[in-house]
Amino acid sequence: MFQLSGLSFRYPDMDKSVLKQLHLSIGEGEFILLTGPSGCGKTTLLRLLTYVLRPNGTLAGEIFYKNQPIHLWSDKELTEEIGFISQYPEEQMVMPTVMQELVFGLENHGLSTAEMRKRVAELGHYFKIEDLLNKKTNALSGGEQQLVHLLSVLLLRPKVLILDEPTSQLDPVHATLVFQMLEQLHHDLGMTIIIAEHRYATLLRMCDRVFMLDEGTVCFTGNSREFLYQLAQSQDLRYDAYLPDIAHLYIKKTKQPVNNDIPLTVNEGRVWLKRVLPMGRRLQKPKQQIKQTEQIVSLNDVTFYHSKNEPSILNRLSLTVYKGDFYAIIGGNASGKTTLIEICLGIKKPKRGRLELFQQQLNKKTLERIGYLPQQPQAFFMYDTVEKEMQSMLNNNNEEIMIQMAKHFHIEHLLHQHPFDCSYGEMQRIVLACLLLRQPDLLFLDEPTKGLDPFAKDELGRYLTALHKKGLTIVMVSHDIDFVAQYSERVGLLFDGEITADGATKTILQDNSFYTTDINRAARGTALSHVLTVEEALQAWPEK
Amino acid sequence: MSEQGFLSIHPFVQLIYYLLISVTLFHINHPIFIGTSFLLLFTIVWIQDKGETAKKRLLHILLLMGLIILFNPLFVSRGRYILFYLGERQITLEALIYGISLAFMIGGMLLLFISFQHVLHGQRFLYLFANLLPRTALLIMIALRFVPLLMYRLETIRAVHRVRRSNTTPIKTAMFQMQTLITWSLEEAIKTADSMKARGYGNQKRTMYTPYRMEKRDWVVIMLLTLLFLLFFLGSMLGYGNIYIYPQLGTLRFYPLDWVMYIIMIPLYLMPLLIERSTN
Repeated sequence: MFQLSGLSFRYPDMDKSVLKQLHLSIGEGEFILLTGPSGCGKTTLLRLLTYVLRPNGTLAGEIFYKNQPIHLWSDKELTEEIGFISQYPEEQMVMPTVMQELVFGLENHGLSTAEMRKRVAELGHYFKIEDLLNKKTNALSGGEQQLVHLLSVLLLRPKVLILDEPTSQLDPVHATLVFQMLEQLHHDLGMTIIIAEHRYATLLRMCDRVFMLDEGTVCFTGNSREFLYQLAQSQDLRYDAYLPDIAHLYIKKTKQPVNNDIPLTVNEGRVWLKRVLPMGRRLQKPKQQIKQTEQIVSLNDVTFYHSKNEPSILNRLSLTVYKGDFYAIIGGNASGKTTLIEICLGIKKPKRGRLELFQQQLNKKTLERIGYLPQQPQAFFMYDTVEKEMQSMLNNNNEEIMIQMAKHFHIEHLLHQHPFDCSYGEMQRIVLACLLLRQPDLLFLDEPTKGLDPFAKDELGRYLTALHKKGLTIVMVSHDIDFVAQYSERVGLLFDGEITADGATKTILQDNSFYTTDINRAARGTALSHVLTVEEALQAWPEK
Repeated sequence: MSEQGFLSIHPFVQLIYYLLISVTLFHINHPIFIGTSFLLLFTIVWIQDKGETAKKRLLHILLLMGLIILFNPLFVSRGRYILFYLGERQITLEALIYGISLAFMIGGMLLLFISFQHVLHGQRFLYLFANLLPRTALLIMIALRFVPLLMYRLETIRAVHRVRRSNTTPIKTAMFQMQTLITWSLEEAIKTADSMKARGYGNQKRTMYTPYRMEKRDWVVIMLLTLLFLLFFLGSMLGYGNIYIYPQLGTLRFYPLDWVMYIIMIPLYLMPLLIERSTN
């Protein structure tokens, strides 16, 4: 399908090339996974392959599509042949209703209404989305929007599907749904799929080949197992963040790892662990006492609904966060996680029940002691440079503290940039740095790991741990179980508007069968049945 | 969303109905005719939205009609039959009758408009509009999608700034928030543009997906409507359904052809309900 020979690319205002001398070929019907840290050139490569979305800059080398230089193809042919899906479900919707959105591409290609009807009926049936057809696009969840967009692209009957981190904004349940759809397309229709993704553990068993890009070159490539093996053998320890937990544990704990034995799924992991580990006794629940110090956040029987006719979003919810807690609230989409934060910040008023922060009613004074990192850091910014942004947060004009803070969060090189020109992870760090300049006593985080690559996620985790150690109270809402398991101390499971389980992270997650980490699921019934993360497993590994 | 009855027929037919009825409303002034048409339209609105908006708006409409009936004779003193004198002004029967017929016409138009809004809203209206101005219609559709998005973003920004607390004045803060909203939205609009481009927008002339098909039933309704309308219109041109008001009130008597027109008017106005009946 694609053939790249000596492809290099440089953006106009940069001195370094984003892609350097790439040689690779992608066959028809291949399922390719592309990965690598943010800024490694993934998106640039995908946009060059899509070609109609090619960025401005200097291109060297050649791209061949179906043995013809890609620039000889017309835009009309290319948009029919190659479908592109971005990581922003909300922004790529153009039309107000789902039906209009689905046929948008078909209308652009001048198809007749009868043909459109036929294609929509066929595909709608294949993917069972009939109930979505008459909905408004902005009433859909992010996952549904991504699904609708995928269908809208598929209606053009492309030969190649290019996806740029399609699930980075989705919760794990919807991410899996999108992956399953891709697998179905690959199996049933033999479609060529090229997907860039950070959270790729589920993709590894589906894809034919993996490419990892770093600094504009391919650093690892091969089939899933070969790729993991290379990754593990690399001297650069940073890459460990890219190893799925189970494979990571296998490679760490096997003297001479064999390619074909690297476990890719939870099930393969369980088979391997059962073989190498002694049987575990039934788990004795460790009694971890929650330190009951000063109450920082306390919600009592809080109920919230938009209108009386709709079901309540929060239902007699009670919750107490103590001083120095690192509290994570987990739960599915639309379980009311964000509403809960909004209530704590006084953005929404509870219909019934009491809210106290720092043992007082919410008032101006208490608000001053809070920091809030929103899901969309863009909403935070007011000025045209990062420096002005940070200066505005200083209480006294002590610029030295500001510089220190910028250094601590590795954003000093961004000070003169416009905040909107930074990457998502950078924006997040800028907001965090700004918030900490006010020295808050309590920090709220809304889905802080959304859209971050594994490096950035680890980094964020380290920053948060450091802050927590200094005594900051942190309340985080997240659906990233691995992150929660690794960094938080206490977990509340939000379901149906109530906290249904609350306790030490370890105790709660060990008990769950779905809301827990892959390692924990794989290690059920072995001597390691209590571990949640790779580090814990390595520490607790029984020595012979 | 499979709609039934009048809602389910082709938007073009619905448009024809509303156009024809509005024309007929202008071409009759006999109080009995225009009063009946008001009642018929009221029945339609009442049945179409089950009395919900009609109840609220009826009061306003009746109030407006009352004012017209009251004020027309007060300001206009043409006519031969003088009912009584109000100070220096003569109150004439002609002006009163004219006021009544004008009030019913305006009331009828307002009711027709309520029904129009109920039937030809959103997608259906856009569809009709798109046949006239396809590019503008596409622009409107994209704008329709953006409005809730903008509102959502503004809400997010406000929420974040509630906690962020800036040192500037509230007005300045609001200005900064608008600035953020615009920068952010423009940034996101680039992504939308990419998604349009990747799906081939602008490569060639677009077609329009038409969710509506003219069926046999639609043609039948059009023919019936046109036939009834033409008969009615012809009658009104010949002076039936109308009376002389100024300078001197003519007779209110119904001639045989008046009766024919009166009978034609009822199915013409009640077409939506007849369709409702025939499909159930």
